Amino acid sequence: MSEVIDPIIVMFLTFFFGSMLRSATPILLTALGETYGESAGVLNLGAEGMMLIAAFTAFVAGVTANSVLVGLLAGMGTGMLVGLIVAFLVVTLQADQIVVGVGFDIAAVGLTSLGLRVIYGTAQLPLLPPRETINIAPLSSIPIVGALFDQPFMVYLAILLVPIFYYGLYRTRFGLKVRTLGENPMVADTAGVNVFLLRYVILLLVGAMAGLAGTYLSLFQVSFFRDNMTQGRGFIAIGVTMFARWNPVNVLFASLLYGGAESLAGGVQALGFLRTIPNEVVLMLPYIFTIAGLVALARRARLPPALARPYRREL
Amino acid sequence: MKSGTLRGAILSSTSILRPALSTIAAIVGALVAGAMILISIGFNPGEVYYTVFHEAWYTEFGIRKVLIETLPLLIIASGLLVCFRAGLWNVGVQGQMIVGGLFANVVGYVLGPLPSLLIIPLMLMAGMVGGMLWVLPSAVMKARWDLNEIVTTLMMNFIAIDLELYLVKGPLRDPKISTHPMTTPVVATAELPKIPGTQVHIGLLIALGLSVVIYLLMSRTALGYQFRVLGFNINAARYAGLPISRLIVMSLLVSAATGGLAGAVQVAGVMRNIDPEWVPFYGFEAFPLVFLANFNALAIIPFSFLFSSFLVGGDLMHRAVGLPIFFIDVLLGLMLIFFGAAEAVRHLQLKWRRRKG
Amino acid sequence: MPDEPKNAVRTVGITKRFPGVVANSSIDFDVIPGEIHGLLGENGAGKTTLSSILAGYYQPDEGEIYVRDKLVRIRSPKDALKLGIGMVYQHFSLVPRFKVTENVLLGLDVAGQDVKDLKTLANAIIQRAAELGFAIDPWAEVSELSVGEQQRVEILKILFRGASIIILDEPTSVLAPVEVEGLFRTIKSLASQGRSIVFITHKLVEALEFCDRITVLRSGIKVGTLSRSGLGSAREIVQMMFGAEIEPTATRRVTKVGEEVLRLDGIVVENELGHEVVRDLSLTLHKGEILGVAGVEGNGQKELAEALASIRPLKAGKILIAGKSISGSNPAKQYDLGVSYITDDRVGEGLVRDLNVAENVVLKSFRKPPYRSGLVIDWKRVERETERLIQEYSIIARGPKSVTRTLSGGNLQKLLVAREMSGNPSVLVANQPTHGLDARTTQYIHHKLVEQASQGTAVVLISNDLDEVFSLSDTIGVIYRGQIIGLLPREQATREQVAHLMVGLRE
Repeated sequence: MSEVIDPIIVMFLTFFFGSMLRSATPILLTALGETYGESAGVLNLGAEGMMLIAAFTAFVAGVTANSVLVGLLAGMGTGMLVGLIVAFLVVTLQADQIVVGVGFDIAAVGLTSLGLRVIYGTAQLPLLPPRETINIAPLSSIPIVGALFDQPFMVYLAILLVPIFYYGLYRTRFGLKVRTLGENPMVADTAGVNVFLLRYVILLLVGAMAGLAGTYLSLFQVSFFRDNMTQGRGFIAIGVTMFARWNPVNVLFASLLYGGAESLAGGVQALGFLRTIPNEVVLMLPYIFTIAGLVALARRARLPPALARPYRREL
Repeated sequence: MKSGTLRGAILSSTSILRPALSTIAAIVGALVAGAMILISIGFNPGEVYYTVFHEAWYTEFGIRKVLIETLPLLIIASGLLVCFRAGLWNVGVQGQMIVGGLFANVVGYVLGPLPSLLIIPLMLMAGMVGGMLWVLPSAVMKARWDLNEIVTTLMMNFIAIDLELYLVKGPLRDPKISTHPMTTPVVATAELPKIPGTQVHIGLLIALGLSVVIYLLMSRTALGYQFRVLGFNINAARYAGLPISRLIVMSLLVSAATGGLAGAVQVAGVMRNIDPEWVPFYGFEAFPLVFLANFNALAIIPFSFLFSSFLVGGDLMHRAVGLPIFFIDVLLGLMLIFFGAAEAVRHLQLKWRRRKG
Repeated sequence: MPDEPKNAVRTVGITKRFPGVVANSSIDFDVIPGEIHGLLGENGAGKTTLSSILAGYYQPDEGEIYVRDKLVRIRSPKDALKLGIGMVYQHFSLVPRFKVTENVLLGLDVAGQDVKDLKTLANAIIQRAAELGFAIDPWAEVSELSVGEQQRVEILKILFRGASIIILDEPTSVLAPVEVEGLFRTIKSLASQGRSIVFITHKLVEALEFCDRITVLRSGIKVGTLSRSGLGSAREIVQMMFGAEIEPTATRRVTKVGEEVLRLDGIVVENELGHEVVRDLSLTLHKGEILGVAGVEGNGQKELAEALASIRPLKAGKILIAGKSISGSNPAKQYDLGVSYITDDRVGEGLVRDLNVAENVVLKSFRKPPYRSGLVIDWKRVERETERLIQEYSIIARGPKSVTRTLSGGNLQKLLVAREMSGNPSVLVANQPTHGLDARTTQYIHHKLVEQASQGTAVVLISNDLDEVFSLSDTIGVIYRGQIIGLLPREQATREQVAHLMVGLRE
């Protein structure tokens, strides 16, 4: 087989499939949380900030304790903590969701970069050894596509979460309550649902997922922390959630497409492929893709009617 | 999404005093929280804050830099005010500024032989055109298909950054500079002259003039009125037969034009040519500014000055005290969060007080 | 025999204040098991507030509640559900996008009999419905059901939650006269099972016909409770409701009806979902005439009004103004041609509550002189005109610059009406202009409508209030399923006729 196909192409495709899932994972994780959030009427624009702060704390905790597990817990915990604060501001105080979200994004950049310099100064960052992958033999021996089955465990975790999230949102009573919140919170209220408590819970979930995504970035995808390393992924996740119409299964496919775009960009760069197209243009692919996705799929999408509106009992 | 009662309450207050409380609370809150962070990392807040303002206001270098830095902030904030009032969130000003700057740069040397009086306005206009072109796809997508403009303008933002890399390293690269890729600089006649008697270029006057124009636009003109109706109640706008698609596009174009103008002013007044990694942050810094100034086009002037004092002072302080500049970003973000919280509390308090009486 | 509770529910001294108004003032109210107890009062009397307190949606500022003679605290709808109190709100509490089963399922984990899966629930729904004498498809999406069917889903929902005390808020306001019969059969059947029904209404006739007892509220105070046997004349009750003899609404003066001003020719209009809700409708309006369009909510009224105002495009047919066909839907142009439109949704689209009163007054007229000169709006002029309107229409507001949010419902409507009438329109479309308003404001608006007509305006009065239509119109038509049926001059029309037409029964 390999004699027939140009070895460069084989190498490229193998790389492509391998990194596609890895690129998709942070988007997938965040977006899964966002599907619940937006279905409940909460527009979490602070996702970018949550991811970044989680990436930072996960890195620091993991490196200090020399344990990935500690880092993971720290990252997820930080995400949930931020989610709690956002919940207080947005659900209890009923502050504007956009103002609060963007505020967190700005503050997160400052806090993490400041923290990085305060803790490590200009010294070389300590590193954890790169993450091992879980190799699913014999599937991973398949040429080219086999790379899909040799991934860090968080990738598999993210994919496994998809059917769980789907089931939870569409086939359980809990999911029904969540979706009711986004459609008409008053209906939920008169059905005895504690609207405020449920929105708090949702924001904790959103924070946890964004926290996981951030942890993945600084402990799994690479093993360090860099200024502003989220690079807009939080917003891309929000875009993905919207054009996946808040359905976790669609989110998986959309994230894979995004991951494909990003890894295509990386692969073309690394392998010096297609010299006619300049590198920088290829770098634009993921962003162009997000816009294209919105145009193609979200045009007729009906936003949850209660999105970004605080709930009050009034006549 | 656009008729959130909180935003409505902020935007509609005609009395200046009450919303100012939220602004004051936001600034004080951020400073206090910032102080706590400083203490925890071993810095003296008093010393830090003092140094920031001392460097910014009491050194000649500082005050000059502050004024120079104020004007792009002011230009952008004025434009953002318009689209925010219309309920649109243009988060891609950074990209619009970059594209505007590139356009202005090119005009600035291609039209070299022209006299200053012609080339400067043309450059500035080119900047505005560049910014507007860059927001146009997002504007159309929003007007036609109601696609979230926060996501699309931000994506365009990232694309602009990559585009800049490509253009500056490639087609626009100055062949005469071999060490580091830069664009061909604008001709000397295209540089903005300084305000006589100062070291600050006339961009400042442009910025001030723009603020006044925007103020008049929003408070006196029919267009400004329509923007406000759109932002407060889109259903009423529809019911009254306002041209909604056109208003959406126009408000975004205004904010992008100012973004591009800011880029042009930076190129013509300060930089003269462009570094491939020029990534100005004014677009994000202006965001909290507009809110804190309570969407008042005239109040934006002192606030821009205040913000750029923080930013410049922070930069200078960094060298003096050793505190990384990022601390200022923390302050700005906190200000926005505290502002949101303060307004929310004020709103809730209003309801509580009325209930008792 | 164990002591049966004397009362299913009883309130003592319930007081509830809202910003600027005391909605309930020391109300003592009780309901006996198995009775249908009417809660009667005009709009704004406090009926919904009292019920919402019982349903746990609001908390009283003072007072106590006893359920089955035991003192309870109802802190949320959840508590109310657990106590067996269920309320069917006037505008329903259903998610249109969800199926019937999903809507009923919500809340079953709190009270009533919970189910394991939707299929079991679906069967139970079919059965329960049959017991009550109607059929419902449990898997239908609620948005596809008629208003009457939706109401039945609401009632089923309450029953599944095990409600023994059922509160119905203005249930007949969305029903056709014939459907009302079905509702009452259901209610009587429920009452005979020992459940207590609280029936909120502002329609005296209904209360008299169906209730065992009636409690009258006025301005937040309980005026009195009458039992069936002790019912005096309707007049007495009206006095209790309004406090004084209420004058009949402005009687329609007879004027000559002029030439044709606007004509709809076989128009077809679609709603958001793409369904045709106005079908081949034709209508002619004459100068000085009040054309009353009666109809049950949901027969295309809103879309008809929007078509007249050119807010909604026509799928087919023509609009002719003064004989000329207009094409190209544009509300602004339509307004300039003299068509004003009082929307039924004053807060959602008629007014911008975050702008001040003056800014709302020019919402439609800002484009042209005298308010506009060049790019600029002459605000001084606008404010003067606003002052004038505030005076003329007795709008209670602090001034042209006060934020509209501070105005009460009645004043908001007056502002809306003032604005639409001030442009000297040749056609005035009024869609439910007095919905939800107290008697005084209603009377005032009726007076203004008559005044407009006598000045030559062609008025289209779309209303589901038969009394209103009959007292104001020169000509009465009925809108049913998107068409105008039975157009008659008022003298020739009878209430029965119109009521029949509203349900589609022709002679």
